[in-house]
Formats: sequence, structure tokens, C-alpha cells
Amino acid sequence: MTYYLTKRTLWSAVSLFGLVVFVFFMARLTGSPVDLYLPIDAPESLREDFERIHGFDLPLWQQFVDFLGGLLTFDFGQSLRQGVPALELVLRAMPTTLLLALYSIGLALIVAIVTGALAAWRPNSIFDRIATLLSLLGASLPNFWVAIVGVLIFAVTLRWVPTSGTGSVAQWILPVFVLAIRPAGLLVQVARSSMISALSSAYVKTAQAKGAAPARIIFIHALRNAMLPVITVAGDQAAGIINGAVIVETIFGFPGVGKLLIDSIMFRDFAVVQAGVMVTAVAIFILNFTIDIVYAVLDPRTRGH
Amino acid sequence: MNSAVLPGEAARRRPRPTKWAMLALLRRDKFALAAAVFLVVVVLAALVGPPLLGGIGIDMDLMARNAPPFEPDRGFWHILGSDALGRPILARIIIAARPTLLIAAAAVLLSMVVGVLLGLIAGYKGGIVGDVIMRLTDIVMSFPSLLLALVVLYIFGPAITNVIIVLAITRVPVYLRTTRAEVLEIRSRMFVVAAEVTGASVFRTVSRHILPMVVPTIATLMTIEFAFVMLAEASLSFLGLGVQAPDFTWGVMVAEGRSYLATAWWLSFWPGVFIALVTMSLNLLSNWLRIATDPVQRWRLEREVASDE
Amino acid sequence: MDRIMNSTAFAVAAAVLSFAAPAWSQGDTSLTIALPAEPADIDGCNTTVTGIGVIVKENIVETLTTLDPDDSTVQPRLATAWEDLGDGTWRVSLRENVTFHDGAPFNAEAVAFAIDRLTSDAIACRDRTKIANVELTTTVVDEHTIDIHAEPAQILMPTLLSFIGAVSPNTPADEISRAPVGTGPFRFESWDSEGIAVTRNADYWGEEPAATDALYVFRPESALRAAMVELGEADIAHDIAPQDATTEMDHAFLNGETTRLRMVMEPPLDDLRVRKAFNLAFDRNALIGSILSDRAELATQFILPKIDGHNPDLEPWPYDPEQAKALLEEARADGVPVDKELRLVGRIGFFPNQEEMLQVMQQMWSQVGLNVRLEMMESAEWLKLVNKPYPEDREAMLIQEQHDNNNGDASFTMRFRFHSDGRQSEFSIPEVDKLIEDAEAATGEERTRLFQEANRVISEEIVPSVYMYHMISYMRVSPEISYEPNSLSLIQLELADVTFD
Repeated sequence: MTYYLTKRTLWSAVSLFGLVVFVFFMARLTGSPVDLYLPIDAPESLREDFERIHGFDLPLWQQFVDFLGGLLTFDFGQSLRQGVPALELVLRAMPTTLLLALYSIGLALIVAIVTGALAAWRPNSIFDRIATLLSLLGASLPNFWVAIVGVLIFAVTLRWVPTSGTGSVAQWILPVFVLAIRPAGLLVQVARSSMISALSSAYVKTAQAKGAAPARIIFIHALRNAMLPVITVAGDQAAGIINGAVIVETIFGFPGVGKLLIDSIMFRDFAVVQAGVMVTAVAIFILNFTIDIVYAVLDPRTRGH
Repeated sequence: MNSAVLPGEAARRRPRPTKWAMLALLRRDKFALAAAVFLVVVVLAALVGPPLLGGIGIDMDLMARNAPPFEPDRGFWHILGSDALGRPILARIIIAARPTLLIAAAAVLLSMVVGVLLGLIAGYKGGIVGDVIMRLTDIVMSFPSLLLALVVLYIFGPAITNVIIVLAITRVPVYLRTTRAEVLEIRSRMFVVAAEVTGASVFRTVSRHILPMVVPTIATLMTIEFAFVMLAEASLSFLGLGVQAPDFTWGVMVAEGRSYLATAWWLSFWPGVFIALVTMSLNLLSNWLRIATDPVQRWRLEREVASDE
Repeated sequence: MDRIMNSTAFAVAAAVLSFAAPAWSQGDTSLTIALPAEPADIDGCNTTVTGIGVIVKENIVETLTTLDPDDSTVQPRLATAWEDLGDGTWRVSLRENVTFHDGAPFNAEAVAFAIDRLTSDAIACRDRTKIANVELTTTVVDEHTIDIHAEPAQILMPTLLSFIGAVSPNTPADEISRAPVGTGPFRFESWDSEGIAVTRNADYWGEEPAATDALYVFRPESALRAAMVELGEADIAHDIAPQDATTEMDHAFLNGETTRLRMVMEPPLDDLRVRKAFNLAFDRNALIGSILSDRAELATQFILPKIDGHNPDLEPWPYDPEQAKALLEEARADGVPVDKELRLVGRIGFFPNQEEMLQVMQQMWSQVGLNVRLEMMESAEWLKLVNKPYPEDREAMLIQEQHDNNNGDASFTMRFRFHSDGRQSEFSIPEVDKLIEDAEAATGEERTRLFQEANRVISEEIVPSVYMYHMISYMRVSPEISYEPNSLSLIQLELADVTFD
């Protein structure tokens, strides 16, 4: 186990390094930021000063060496757009995104476990069919579309929640719901099918034979066994949100990493793009790592590996 | 997601149902049947619709700007309303069906071919080559697809082929990892070991013994992926990084309608509904396909059918 | 089982309802202003950049002079008087008893610092664009008098003073600031994920504004900004789309922007008849009141009527597809490749509904047989096409542009776009070069006449563009406050002009 985890960490470090190199050059392939930052009629001298101040006049290899040097001390350089260290910007935006992921996956998990368990209790009952259909629908809705339709209905027409912003709890409701819909849809299906197998297992049958209450059977005996695939998929979905809640963050004006990343890409703010990609990759790595450990704890069979 | 797709181990050695048996099964699952029929209609519309429509859906009419839906006076095509340039939305949805489906299909095929190939190599050969492939996969998976889209668009210009490439690259890892996992498992089985011991060539072992085992899983995966890629394309287009004018997809239509959300909801609403319906049909179908190709679970479908009759 | 479902649904509904209390503004004197995009910085030396100026200019950092929004005449602000001493030197008298928000006194030294910082090559101040190719040197005469020398001499010095923001001498001289310190009626308070906050400056030298503080929030969706005012979440929604401007609260104003298509004069656009055909086959009036605001005005040149040098005698192109066809036929007969497919390059994000507008134009042109293919570009890509040096193998195309000249004088437009050494000029015609050069050197009526003549020659004889519209913006203003937008409101929104009913 320890050997496995160590090996994984090392390989991930190699991948991260590859990623950083890749991002460095890919980002620069999209062209110089100078024109984007200066007014269209900026004089040549201003353009030269701008390039010199931000180091764009140096040859690319030199920029790369400088970048690698900074990396050793976790210095990704200054944000071109905001003039503060890039890493600081990313770390400031990270909690918002992590909380968004946590809340929406948490919500999705609760919905999925309850619905999935109930649906699996009596497969092909009316409830099961409706739940399956709704979960499929949830997994099929484009989230940008849900977001704008959601704003229209719940904020503009019904006025239940504010349209956007992050200041109050109410402002989190709509984004969290929008982000939770797709994962919830997927998770209900996974929870349902793994509950069905769990409920048909000998272990549960024994519990049933002993006369345990249905709720106890579902939520205590079967659920524990059915959790593994659910956790895997939930992890994947959480990674998806950390990596790309761009649209929801943009529409609702949430200052998360996704929005920061797309703004930085659009404005060719290379330092922030690099820091952002790196930090999200690390976050996702930690997430997967944690899931592996949870997995190992839940499932004794993997411990041997 | 992969774990949900993998058919049970015991399923492997049983014969798979014939095509006719599959169709008969499909006929009996009402939801899957409805989904299949809907998809066939959409595909047909995408194929024959645009030439039949002629200028309808392309020609502008500023008098009908943002005309609301369900006003029969304006004619059949305007039944879902008109867009900001007075073009009937229904006709535009039909016109956009072709690029929308084409992009998704091409991206799915491309990523499947590349992913399965690399997955076979990584799984069968293993070792350094396998490790390198897996590390590259990790990189691709943690690389923001938006940046990739922007880079490709910037360097190669906005064209449908480039959108396909971006989508394909980001989805390769899914096939790669699934295939590799399958191969690793199958390789350890007796009949493959036997084939290897008796001196069958690598190509023969893979094509005769391993590939056929992987096919059902990949087929199911492709259906889900088709749905996923459609959503991804729509998201890219929504952010202005996907298909560019004058081409348009359903995603582009939603994006264009967004600025009229408060005054003419139907612009974004209908194309969004179509995205959701097609995606949902694909998901229904893949659900069914997963069960139908897996004899362990097929009994459930058959029993379900029996109880219906 | 049902009970579980019901109670879950109930819990969700209760959670939603408990947050349902709408955030109506409480009749207080705090303002919330919804802007489309968060600026990169809010430095006092970047005030001519749209998203920055709208927050900073004259609210936090004041300039030496300001321009009247209606007729562009120069008004005193921190400078009270100015006088041309000859030799390119101007003597400027400064307002007394003014202090910066950090307590530093506003005096000649401070102005010298601000000008040094602005022109320094240690930071790339974007306001330098407005004083391009001018060397400014300062001499402190006394506490409240300063001599500003320009090389070469600047006839428009009083206008240039309106680009010089007085930032505190304690501002770092080699770093763009995100916490500006000026002399304005509002002081910068904070900038966080909520937005940018400013509060009233108790020591302001002028009249005390009615608003006590303001929060700028950033929401890219126009419909969302508009809804925020309607729901009481904001007091002003800046720059909303025409289709969202549906209520009494919405004010239209000429925003100072003019839009055109620039024609790259390679075959077939090197032929005057083809360029004329493009203009004749475009029904400009059809878009007004549908895709564009009904208040948009037809442009005959690249500057607004309020700008000195605007030629009032120029007529908009008539819509005459028959004549366009005839011209094209004539050109075709002479071997001009009029059927060549031309790119129509739009830039994403200029103004609402622009892509639709370009699509309509494309269709209008296809009706006379012109073959145009619309291509929308992200700004970095678009920029590669518009600035010199142009690539050798440049092809004919039409490029959508938008330009604002709110500086009162045609010189801020003309050389850059129409003189042969202009960075975005598509032609080199000695007659035009001379007119522009002479106009720049002239003053008074002669200057006006020469610029007007240059515009006439360009618009009538050269036809390098499809001029489109002087654009309209909409602002939604809450009924609880009163604010009347003017032609500068897109780039400069003075909080002091807001009053409460």
C-alpha cells in the first residue's frame, strides 16, 4: 500500500512537471499579450516598455529557464493583469471553487444515495422508473442552459434567490443546484445499480432472513457495500467541477479558479494560467489520492496491492 | 464512470446475442425504443432536412424578429418562434442538427480509435511504453480543455475540424484507460495465455482474442461519450470557443439566444431542449445496451419484458 | 418511503424560502453599480481605458482639466487656468487647498510627479497613448503654478491636461496600482471578490456628493445587470443591451463610439466601384430600431458631430442595390475579380448584437452578388489583422472596427487611420497626408476647415470604409436615484452626479 502510494506520488510529480512544461509553451503559442493590454493606438515606445517590463523581450528559452527557476521556490511570477503574485491569486480563488465542488457534490451524493437506495429497494416500481428517468434527464441537461434558465425562473421571475454574487448564503443556492444536477443524475444511476447488486448479495439476504428492518438493511448493510462505485464517480465529478466550473462561475459572477483561468487565458496572463493549471492539478491529485485511501479503508481487498 | 460500464466477468465467455435478438429486446424496452426512434428521426432530419428547407432558416426577416412561439399565423416553421434575425427556430434547429451530430460523431470516433489503440498498447505491452502512455494521459486529463481549445483555434483558425480535434483529444483518456483496464484483465485469462504459449502472433492474439472482448464495453462507452461530447461542444460554443459563424450548432444557438434571455426566452430554450433530449436518448440507449450486451444482467430486461406482457 | 421524500422536499423548499427575502436597497445613500467586466487595475494613469476610467476618473483620481460631455470644450478641474507661453510651454495654475486622500498636499510638485510617473518607461501607463510622441517636461514655478513644456509644441495642451490624472506622490512610481490615491470626492476603500468599494472623501475641496459610498460589481451578462436594478440589487446597470432596455428606468445615450468596416484595399477592393457597391448595397436604416437602438445615428465619418473637424455636409450613403449591381457589372467587365470570396472579420465583444448586424449585412451584400464570409474573432487574433506591419500577402477583406474619440479634436482619429504613416492606415495618398499634416499644425477655424476637407476627401473620393453608426448605449438607473447619462458616461461615470430623490 505504502509502496503503491509512493510510486503514485512520484509518477504524479513527473506528470505535473510535464504538464507545466506543456502549458508554458502551449500558452505562448496563443500569441503576445501586448496588443491586448495596450490601447489599439498605443505608440511603439509604450509597447517596447511594456514588453521589457514584463520580460516578453527575452528569448523564449530564457523565459522558460526563468520560469523553471521560479518554480523551485513556488514562484509562478506576477500576474500581468493584476500585478500580484500569480500563485496568490489562484490560492485566493481556490476556496470558492472547492466549496462549490464540496456543496454540489455533497448535495448530489445525498440525493443520489437516498433516491438510489429507494429505487433499488423495489426495482421497476413506479418510483424506480420515475427516478431513473429523472436521473437520466439530470445527466443530460447542459449546465450553462440550466444556469441561465434557472436565473430566469428563480431569480428574475420568482425572485426567490438573488441573481448573482457571493456575499450571502442565498447567492450560493442557484450555482450549487446547477452544478449538482448532472452529478446527481449520474450518481443516482450508479447508486441504484450498485445497491441492486448489494441487496442481492448473500450478506444482505442473511440480514433479511434474520428479520432486520428494511431501513436498516438498506442504509446500514447494503449501503456500505454499494458505496465504492458511488465514491469513484463522485470523485470524478468533483474533479470535473474543480477543473471546469467555468461556465457556472462566469454566469453567476463567482470568483473561482475556473473563472480566473478563463479570464487569464483570454487576456494571455500566462503566469496565472500556469499557476492555475498547476494548483488545480495538485488539488485533483490530492482528491484522487484521498479517494484511493478511502477505497482501501472501505474495501479490504485492495489493501494487498 | 468506467466501473459502471464494465460488464461482469462471468459474461465474457457466454455467446453474445444476435442482432435480431437485440432488436427484439429493444422493441420491448419502451423507453429505449422511444429513444432510438427519436434519434433516428433526428439523424434523418439532419440528413435530408437542410436541402429540403432551402432558404428557410437562413433568410432573415427583421419583421419577424424574436417572434414568440405558438403563433400559427406565421406558418409551420415559426411554431417554436423566430430568432433575433427573424429566422424560424425549428428550421434552424434542423439545419444545426447536422453539424452538431457530425462534430460529436467525428470526435467520438477519433478519440475512440486513438484511445483504444493506445489502450491496447499500454495494456498489452505494459512496461516503459505503458507507463509513458499513462503519464501522457494524466497530463492530457489535467490540461484545461479551454486552453487547448484556445490554442488550437488560435493556431489553426476557427474551423469545425479543429473543434473536433480539441474534443477528441480531451476524450482520448477515457477510452485509453477503459481499454487498458480490460486488456490487463483479459490477458491474465487462460485462453489468452494459451494463445500466447502456442506462439500466436501479437497481432493475432490481440485481434482474435482481446479486441472482441473489449468491443461491447467500448460500444456502450461510445454512446455515453457521444452525449458527453455533445454537451462539451455546446459548452465550448457557449464560451465562444467552439464553432464560429456562419456555421452553427445547437450550442451556438443557446449561446446566441442568451442575450435575449429576459425578452425572448425561446431563442435559448428550444435548442437547449434538443441538446437535452438527444443526450437523454443516448443515455437511455446506453443503459439498455449495457444490460443487453451483458448476459448476467440481461435476464432482468427479459424478465421485465415478461412482466409487461 | 413517501414520508422520507416529502420531508426532503419540504426541507429544500424551506431552505429556499428562508433566503427569499429580496435585497431591496433601504433608501440609504449607498450605491451599487453593475459593470460588465472587472478591470485589470484601477491606476490613475490608465484612466483613458474604458473599464478603468469609469470607476477611477474624477471619482477617485481627478485630472487637471475635463472636457464638457456635450461640446468637448475644456473645463477647469484641478487646473484653474492655463496660458500658452510660446515655445511649446504652457503655464498652468493649480487649485489651492486641495489634499490627496493620504494627506499629501496637492501642489506643483505633485503634478510634476504625476507627469513623470505617467511618462516614465519604468511602468507602461496606458494614458501615454494619448500623448504619444510628445516629450513632456515640467518646471515648478511656485507652490501652485507649474510650467509644462511639450516637444513638439502642442496646440491642444489644455485637452492633453484632461488625460493627466493627479495621483498622490506616495504612489509607487514603478508599479501599476490597484489602490489609487487621488484628490477626488471618493476614496478607494477595498477591492475583493465582491467588487471595488469607494467611500466619500470628507475632506473633498468641492461640493460634497450625495452618495456616501459605492460598490462596483462585475457581471458579464447584460440581462443579469438589468435584472439587478429591477430587483433592487444594484442602482445602476451600465451598458445594457438594447433588447434589455425595455422599461422607464432605461436611459439611452450616444456613447461616443463609432463603428465601421475597414476595407483592405487589395483586389477586388482596390477598385473604387467595388468599394462604393459595398456602401450602396447596405441598407443602414433597416438595422436601426431592430437590431440596433432606434437612437443610433448614421455615420458619415469616423468621428462624432461634436468633435472639431467633423464635416456636417457629408451625406450618408443611400440604399441603392441597383446602382451597386451596375457598378459591380462595370467592374467585372474591366476584369476586377468581384466574385472573389471576401472575409468579413468581426471582433467578439464590441457591442451587443454585433454578430447579428454583420449577418444581416452579409445577406444584403449577397443579394447584389457580393460574396462575403463572416468570421468572428477573439480580440488577440483580430488585433493581428489591424496593425502595421501588415503581412506581404495580405488579402482583401472587411474588418469591423469601433473607435471612440471623446477628446474634442479630429487629430486623435485622423493620422493614425488615414495618414500614410498611421499604424492602421490602408492607403497612402499625398493629398490626404498633406491635409492631415496641415490641419494638425493649424489652429481655430483653419484647423476645422482642413480636417473637414480631409474627411470629405476620404469619405467621398477614397471610400476606404463602410461607415456604419454612431452607437447608443443604455444604462438602467434605479428609480430611487437620479442620474442622467451623458456622452462620456461609458468611460467616466461621476458618482457626484448621482442624487437621491
